[in-house]
Amino acid sequence: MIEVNYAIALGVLLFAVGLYGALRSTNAVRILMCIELMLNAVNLVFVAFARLIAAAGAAGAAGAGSTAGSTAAAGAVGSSGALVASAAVTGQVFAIFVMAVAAAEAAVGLAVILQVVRQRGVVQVDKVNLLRG
Amino acid sequence: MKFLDAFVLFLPTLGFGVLGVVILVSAWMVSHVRRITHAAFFMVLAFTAVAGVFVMLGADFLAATQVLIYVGAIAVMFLFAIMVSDLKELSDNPAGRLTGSEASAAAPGPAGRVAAPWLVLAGLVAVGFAALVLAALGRSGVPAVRIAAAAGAPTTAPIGQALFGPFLVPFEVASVTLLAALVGAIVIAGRESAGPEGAGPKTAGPETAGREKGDAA
Repeated sequence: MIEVNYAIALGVLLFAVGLYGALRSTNAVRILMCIELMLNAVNLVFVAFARLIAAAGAAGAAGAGSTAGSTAAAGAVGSSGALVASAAVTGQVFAIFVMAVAAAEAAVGLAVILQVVRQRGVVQVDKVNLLRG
Repeated sequence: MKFLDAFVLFLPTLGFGVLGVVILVSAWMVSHVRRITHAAFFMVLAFTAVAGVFVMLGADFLAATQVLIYVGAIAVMFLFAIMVSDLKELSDNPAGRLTGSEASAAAPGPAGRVAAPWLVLAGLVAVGFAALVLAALGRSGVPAVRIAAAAGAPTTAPIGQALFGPFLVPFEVASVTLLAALVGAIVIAGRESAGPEGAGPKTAGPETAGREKGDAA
C-alpha cells in the first residue's frame, strides 16, 4: 500500500526536477515556471506532513479517550482535541500562505520580465547585464 | 469477486503511481520542451496532478485552491505574458535570430539536452532535502500512515478557523503582500516604455540588432 512517505518522496523529487530546470534554463519565463514547480513541491511536503500529524493526533486523541473514562478528564480531552484539530491543518494553512507568496512572486516576476523584453528585447537571463557596470 | 476486491484495494496505489509519473514527467518536460507555450501547458498538467495528490492526502480544500489559483490564475497569467510578448523572442531556441558565432556562444544548452552539472547539483540538493525530511520524520516519531486509509473529514472549516484564529496576523500580512505585489506588478508592467529605448546609455549589445518590432507595444 502507498504510504504518506511516498508523497513526501514525490515532493522531494519534484523539487529536484524543478531545481534542475531552473538551473539549466536561460529563459526567464521558464525559470519562473520551474520556481513555481519547486514551490508546489514544498506544498506537497507540507500537506503530507499535515496528513501525518493529523493521523498521529487522531490516534492520540482516540487513545486518550479510551483510557480516560472519568468525567474530569473529558474537558482535558476536549481541549486537547481542539488543539489537535488546529494542529492537523497547520501544514495546509502554510501551503495556503505559500500559494499566496507564489502568486505574488509570479505577478511581479512576469511584470519585470515583460518590461525587460519590452526594453531590451531579450528574455535570456545571461544576456541581461544592466548592472554590470 | 476476489480479483475485484484485490483490484479495489490496488486502486489507490495505481492512482498514486499514475499521478506521480505524470507529475515528474511533466515537470521534466517544462524545462525540456522547445516551445515556451508547451512548457506552460506541461506546468498546468503538473499542477493538476499535484491537486490529485492533495485529494489523496485528504486535503480537499487545498486541492480546490490549487486548481483555482495555480491552474486558474497563475498559469493563465503565464500564458497571457507569453501571448503579449513576442513568441519568437521568448522561445529558448531562437533559430531565426542568432547566426554564426553568436549562436554558438548564446545558450549553454538548447532545449532538449541534459546539462550534467546542474543535474548533479539538483541531485545533491534532492539528497539533502530527503535527509532533512527523514531527520524530521525520525525526530517526530509519527507512525507511517497509509494514503486514503480512511475517508477524512472535510478540512474547510478547520482551515477557516485556523486562518482566523491563531494565523490571523500572517493571514492579514499575506493579503497586504498580495495587494502590494498587485500594485507593483501593474506599475512595473504598465510603464509605457519609459526607459531609454533610443536615448539612454545602452550598452552596445548584439541582442538588439535584428529587432525592429515590439517598440510599438
